[in-house]
Amino acid sequence: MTQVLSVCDLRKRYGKFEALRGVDLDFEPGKFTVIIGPSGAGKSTFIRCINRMVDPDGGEIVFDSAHMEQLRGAALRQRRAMIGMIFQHYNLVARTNVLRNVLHGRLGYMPLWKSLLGAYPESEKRRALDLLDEVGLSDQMYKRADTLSGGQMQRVGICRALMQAPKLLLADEPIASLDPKSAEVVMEHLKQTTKQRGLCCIVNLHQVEFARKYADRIIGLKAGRVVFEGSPATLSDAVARDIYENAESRLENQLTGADIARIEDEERVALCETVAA
Amino acid sequence: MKMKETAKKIQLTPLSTALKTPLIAALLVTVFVVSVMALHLDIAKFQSRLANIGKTLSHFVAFDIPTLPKALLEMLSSISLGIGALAIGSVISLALSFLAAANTTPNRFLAASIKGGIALIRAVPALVWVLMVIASIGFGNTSGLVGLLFPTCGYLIKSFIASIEDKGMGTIEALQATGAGWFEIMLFGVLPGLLTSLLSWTSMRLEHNIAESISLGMVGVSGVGSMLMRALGNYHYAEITTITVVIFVTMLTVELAVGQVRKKLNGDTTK
Amino acid sequence: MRDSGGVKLTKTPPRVPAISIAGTLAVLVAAFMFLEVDFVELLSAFPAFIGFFAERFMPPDFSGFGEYLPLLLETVLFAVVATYLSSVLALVGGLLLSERTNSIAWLRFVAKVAFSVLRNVPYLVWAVILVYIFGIGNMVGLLALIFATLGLLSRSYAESLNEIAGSKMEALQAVGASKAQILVHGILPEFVPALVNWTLFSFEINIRASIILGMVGAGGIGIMIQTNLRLFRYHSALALILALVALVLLTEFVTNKLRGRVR
Repeated sequence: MTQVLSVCDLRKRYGKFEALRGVDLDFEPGKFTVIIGPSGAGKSTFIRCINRMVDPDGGEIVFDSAHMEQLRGAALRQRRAMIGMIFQHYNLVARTNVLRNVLHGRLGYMPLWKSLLGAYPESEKRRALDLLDEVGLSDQMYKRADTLSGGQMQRVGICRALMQAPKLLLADEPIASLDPKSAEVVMEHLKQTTKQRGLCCIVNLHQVEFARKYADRIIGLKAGRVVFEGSPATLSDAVARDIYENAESRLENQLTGADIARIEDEERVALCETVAA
Repeated sequence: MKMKETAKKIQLTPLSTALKTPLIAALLVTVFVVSVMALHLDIAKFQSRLANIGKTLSHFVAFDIPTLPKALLEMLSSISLGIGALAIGSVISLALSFLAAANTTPNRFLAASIKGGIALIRAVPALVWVLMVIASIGFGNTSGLVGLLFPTCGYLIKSFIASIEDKGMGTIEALQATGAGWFEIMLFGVLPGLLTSLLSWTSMRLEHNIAESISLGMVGVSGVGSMLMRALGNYHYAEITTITVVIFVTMLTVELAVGQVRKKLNGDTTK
Repeated sequence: MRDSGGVKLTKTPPRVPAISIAGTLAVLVAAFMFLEVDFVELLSAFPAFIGFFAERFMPPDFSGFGEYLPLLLETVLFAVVATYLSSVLALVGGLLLSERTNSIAWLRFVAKVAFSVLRNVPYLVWAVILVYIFGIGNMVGLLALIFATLGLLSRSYAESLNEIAGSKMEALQAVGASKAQILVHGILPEFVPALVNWTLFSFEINIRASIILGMVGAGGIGIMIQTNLRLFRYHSALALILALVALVLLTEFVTNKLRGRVR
């Protein structure tokens, strides 16, 4: 059996808070994996360690026969280009149009001067349009990203990730900010794409129902450890309940000094703006 | 209908927006070039002076320790002037801003005239105010104080009004229902919740006031500014540097201190 | 600012320790004593000024105002050119100051110190020193205006750059974009509104500063205000001041309109 991604004894701590305490998991192509768990269980940290948006403290991450945890600089960027990522808050460049946002998926593959000029090859622009067409947004290609609805933004986010022609697709709470209907659309599209392209897709969710409905495989994370692994059919209600039990105390630890400093910062900025006005 | 079926090149941006950027850029460049040309800048003279700037600047690399006490004393005088004007100004501003804010004013006409007056006062630079006051009542600290009052009040009243209007009508209506008088409503209903933001504005103004008060010295009011002008007149390079350093250190200290005070104030409200 | 829509009758005002109040009062008393200002004199000074103003300044005398128009135009042009130059320099400064765009800590520190010196010495002080070094002339005026806004503008740009949500840039990082690509494709487009806003703000400051700088021989209309006051031509001085008020208000009107167009 060929694995796209193999994670071994992954560890990460933030100060005193242990986000991941030794996670071992393997992922195969064409499979739609959903990770569930309460806030603070380490889902987001896990997924971000894979493409090194977060640097792990220990363990191995082997993606496409490269040790991700050892890569730096250009080599790391090259690998990141092969891993698509989808975010809870879509993270589109708000003042840039939809087409350009999708084409951002190619940035990792092209030199700076070319991207500066916007000199994307015609074939890639065509592909971007095709991707937008698939999600029904090709007529919105010149709209500014911040004029779209949440569901539309997330579909653009998926197009951007697919534009990378990734082997691995990571999605961190992709539907947490969406209404139920948009959420269905997004999940449906993610699942379909995974099957069609034979991708390996890892999705963080906190809704167990969605996990049951779409996943090929469900992983339960709790307090930084894998507490469940199996097909949706094997996830009983009792197990699901157990995963989410006693979660609150850990969540509280998450608001760190840095968060508080950031909140204060925002207020100061708001005050400055009032003065300027 | 489907774009991918046409063989046309795909534009990254539609033509209308694609044209807008170079147009704006061209406009901006034109404005700049025309302005520079219309100014007839004396670049030649400037260049000749620039040629031996190294020598000129080397004169300034000196520090005159004996001037330091005098400079500090004059600085203290400038600071006092800034603080004094701020103290008087904040009291006046407090009263006037409650009379002028849309949600607290007892009379709309009064509010409009205060706001209009403030807009006019703010449009006149601080230094011009001081020059007018000096022309009227002569040189001295009193002129400096009165002159600084105008820009201080201009700034504070505008800021205070913004803070008061931010509070809305809620509290006021609630207290009106109890039959409280205007003054009581303002004092017990509106002011307490506003205290931190008003103090925050006032502390921010301190920085401006001290900067202005230093500058005032240069047009005739006493203080570190006039000392600097004298040093310049006497070609006393070391003294110029010393005074400038004193000014910088003072302003930096004030900036940092005000930052700390505001952090404390904001910290109080977020708790 | 923060959410303040609710009625907050129960909110207690922050406790100000008695020591702070006492300290502030002590500073105030010391300041007034140090200034040796007579309170009776102070109280009479204000009415005296108003009286003098009403009697000697009013009404404004606009005769011969035509002579000033070229100077007024020059004042505006100075502000325009200075704003261009200082915004270009401040852009470099902002990129150097922001931790989002400059990851070299010592370079950030050097830039911080340099711009702090620029910002914390009042521009009139810079102006007289520059006049001293380069002699009276309009290049000096321009330079002084650049000094007047460069420090503030650089810091403001840097703060706005820092504010751009890191999460958005995370997406570009995740596609494997380099730092330069993130800057060009992610940070700069998001920075445009703040850039326009702060630049217009610095134009407003430059208009005011450009008026003042004339008073220390750095070109522009300021010199005429002072001359008129020195020659006791108060009515002409007032006419000039009113023209400047109109100019400042017009500037603010225009900049606010322009701000509204950039979102």
